[in-house]
Amino acid sequence: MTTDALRDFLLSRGLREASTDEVVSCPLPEPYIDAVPAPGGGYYRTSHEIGLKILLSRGSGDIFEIGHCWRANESGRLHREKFTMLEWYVVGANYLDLITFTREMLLDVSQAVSGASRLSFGDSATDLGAEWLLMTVGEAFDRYSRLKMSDAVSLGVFEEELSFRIEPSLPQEVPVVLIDFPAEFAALSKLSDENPSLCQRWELYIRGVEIANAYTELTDPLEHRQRLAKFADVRKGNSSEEYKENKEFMEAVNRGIPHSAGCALGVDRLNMTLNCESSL
Amino acid sequence: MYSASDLRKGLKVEIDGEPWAIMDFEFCKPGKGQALYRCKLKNMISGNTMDKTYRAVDKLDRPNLEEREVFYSYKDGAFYVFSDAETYEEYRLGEDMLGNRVYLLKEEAECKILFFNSQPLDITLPIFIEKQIADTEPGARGDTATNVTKPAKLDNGYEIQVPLFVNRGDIVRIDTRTGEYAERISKA
Repeated sequence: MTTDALRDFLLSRGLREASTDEVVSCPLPEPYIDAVPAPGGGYYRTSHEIGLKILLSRGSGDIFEIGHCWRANESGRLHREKFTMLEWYVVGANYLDLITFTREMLLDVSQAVSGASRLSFGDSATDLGAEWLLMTVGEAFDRYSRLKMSDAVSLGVFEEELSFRIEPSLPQEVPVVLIDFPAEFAALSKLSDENPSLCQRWELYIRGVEIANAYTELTDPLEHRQRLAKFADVRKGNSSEEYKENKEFMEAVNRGIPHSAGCALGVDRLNMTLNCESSL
Repeated sequence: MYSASDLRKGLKVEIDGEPWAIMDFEFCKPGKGQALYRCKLKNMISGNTMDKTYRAVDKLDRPNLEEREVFYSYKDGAFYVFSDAETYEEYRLGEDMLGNRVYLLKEEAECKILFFNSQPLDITLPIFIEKQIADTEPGARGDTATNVTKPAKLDNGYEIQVPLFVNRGDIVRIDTRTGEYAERISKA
């Protein structure tokens, strides 16, 4: 039901649905995401990013995919090794444009699934239809952590502070969008034009649970190579499995990924939230 | 060695030479960031608890824990002597490890001792043990309410709460996990 409603919305906005391969030759060397090897060789995809960026580079235009992804050793209240992800890209857009888009999509989906935008969790409620709270990651640190964002990054405790101080403290009545992550956590997003220590990335939280992650996509081939080399170094330093270069992805980067914004959304978590539950 | 991804509720690990049990466990992973394994740990010697967060690269030692079947033999001064069911080796445990359970020991009772590096760490008694009531006031006739209890003493002086129908000389079953009356086995 949630999946159908997401698809209906995206098709109504003119995005094309893609169905890329669930198995990739090798994953991108993201520092902290491990892929599950596929029995016939290669790996199960950890997101739709490789497949969809290849299509974007071939001129697909606005595009989305809903399907299973796999991440090794991720299992917990909010994690499953195999999960359903929606990923979509809007050509010509930047990350901030996707906030409005995502809000309209979730309102539509919530109406379709539960007939309302207000979700009741015991004695408190979250209204998806209320104005979403936008806060920079830096502000969130100032409000909820004892450390400044830059200090948390340099001390190597950014994730701890975000997970254990900030996420549990975020307002629950409305969705919260944390914007402008430190450049160290840019993944493959574009750095901020005004301040290159930040990147054009946001995360959507509903009741302290991370639901979606969006970027203005990196397009520059040289910067792609530098970032991926840096990621591979981190993996090597952590004795994580080393992944070979994904040739098809690098071809796409060299061909040219159009200026676009992309977002990945955890469908199982969204479903959990729309059903007013707090674990998968 | 355990790696962080092995951590889960109930697992026992060694930290700074002491055994700790994981009482609570949560897997966290902020988007694109490192996995965090948040544990609530209990020291198996002191009972102290602490919260600790591990990362995927962290390694933890596996404690050398062994459980052996023993039976209770006799009391020797301040010590309670248990014999290994297999080797008949004797282990002497102090009252501090047994607590109130010293009153529930019976000769030949089959117990289990948990060892950490050959040091006794904890003992488990049989879940139920039968004891005779040495002394209790007679229950008032006609009072049949089931949730009403009265104190009763075992021959070693240990006091438990029993239902009103239990009398002096009755054999009762006691739950060693709680130290409380469970049921009456036979009447005097």
